[in-house]
Amino acid sequence: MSFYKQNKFFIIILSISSIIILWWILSLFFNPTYLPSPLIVFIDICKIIISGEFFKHMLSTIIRIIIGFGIAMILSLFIGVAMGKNKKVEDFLKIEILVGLTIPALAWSIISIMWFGLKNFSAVFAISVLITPMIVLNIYHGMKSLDNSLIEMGKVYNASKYLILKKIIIPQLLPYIFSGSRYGLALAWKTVVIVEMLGLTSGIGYKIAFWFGLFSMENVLAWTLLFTGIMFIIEYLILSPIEKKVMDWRQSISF
Amino acid sequence: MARIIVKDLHKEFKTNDSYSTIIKNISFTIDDGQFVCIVGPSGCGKTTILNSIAGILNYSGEIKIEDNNKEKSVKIGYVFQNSRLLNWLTIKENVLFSLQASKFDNNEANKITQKYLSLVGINEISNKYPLFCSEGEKIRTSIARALAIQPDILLMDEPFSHLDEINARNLRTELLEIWQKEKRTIVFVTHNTLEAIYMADNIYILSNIPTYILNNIIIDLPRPRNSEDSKLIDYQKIVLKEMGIL
Repeated sequence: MSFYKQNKFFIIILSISSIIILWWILSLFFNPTYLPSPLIVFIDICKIIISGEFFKHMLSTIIRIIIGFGIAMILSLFIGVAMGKNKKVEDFLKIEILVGLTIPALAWSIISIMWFGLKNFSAVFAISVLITPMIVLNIYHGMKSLDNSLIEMGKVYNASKYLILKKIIIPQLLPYIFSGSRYGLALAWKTVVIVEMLGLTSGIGYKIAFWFGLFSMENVLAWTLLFTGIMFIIEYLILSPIEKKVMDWRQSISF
Repeated sequence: MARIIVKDLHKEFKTNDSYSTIIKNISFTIDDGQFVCIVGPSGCGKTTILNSIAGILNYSGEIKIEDNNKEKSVKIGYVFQNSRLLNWLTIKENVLFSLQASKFDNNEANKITQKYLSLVGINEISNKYPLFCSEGEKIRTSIARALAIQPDILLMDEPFSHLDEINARNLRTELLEIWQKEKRTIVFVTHNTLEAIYMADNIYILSNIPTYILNNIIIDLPRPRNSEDSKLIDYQKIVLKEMGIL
């Protein structure tokens, strides 16, 4: 094993430590109101976790994301497959999808709150409507890239429609569903924080807005870093392993 | 085991605003257990004929597959030119696929899969994924997948054309051994006339498009055949003459 592989973990730790050290050095030159030291922020992080506040607000945020994302996923599968299969559906919905991609998260968040009030559903709605076009587009491309010769092979062997769907079509769509979901999830995080900041009473976005109102940079940073930490955990402990398991039949290209 | 009767097979393809005839009223019969090769120039419709027999292409005319003079629902095994394996399934799971499609019971399917993996010599790679396998291994998998369902007819579309000569020679010999053992009706398409002569009971020679049968040559050589036999070259001269090359 190369020096790099053996020490990959060490190098990541080194990288993170360098940033923290740089931050600490910079904080010595600035007013703590604008750039508090990492130690203060770290203490705040501990307080937030120990008091149970982090868990409570994180849970609210995550639940909104899960529901919004879930709805978007189901809708996208139907729409994406329909558009991929049927030219008329594709032509009919193309405009809506393209427009949907360009409307900014902030716009939908505001519209959602104006329609539904300061409720959980506003966050869920904004997430669904924002990420659906993105996932639809990915699934549509997946449908267009289906290898018809494999479906033909299935038909020659008299495979049922169910078997063809399960063993031939879905495995080909999975990489597209995955990449669409990745982008979608990233956007969902950003969207939920915006809606929460605009006026909900729980969630990470709410807490960041709260501390912004009191101009407490250390708490704003604390909540932001906690949020980032959770994103990392989800990415490295949940998403990446699942992706790896589902994709390990692909050859890795080495340059 | 089955007999294939093709009558007035006619196939047109639409190009822009007009239709062009690819196959012009071809008729032939392949008897039960025969090994028949179809040779012809590129693009003359050899694959189209196989696809018509396999039922994945519309055509005009009649294609009947009979067993003991009764029309029956046939099991067709097809070895495609590009193996058409499912890259996200292991070699073993690829062979299992045809058995699952034919609704074999799980236990039986596993046993049959084992048998054909061994028969075709790919037991050791049964847990590998196709993208990590050589062309030869992929073609063997495709053959095992086709044979596993005990097909009435085995269709093969230039299966060895992507292989190096050593691999191709080995596979030709192994295929013939399997054929002698299992006595399946085989329709084997190739553009390699020597390969056709080495393998077939008889050869249908096709013309350029619009395609018709130039001739049907019976290969009267005892088996097992020797690939160095000069009589193969004699037959090749006949075939190439029919095709207008010599």
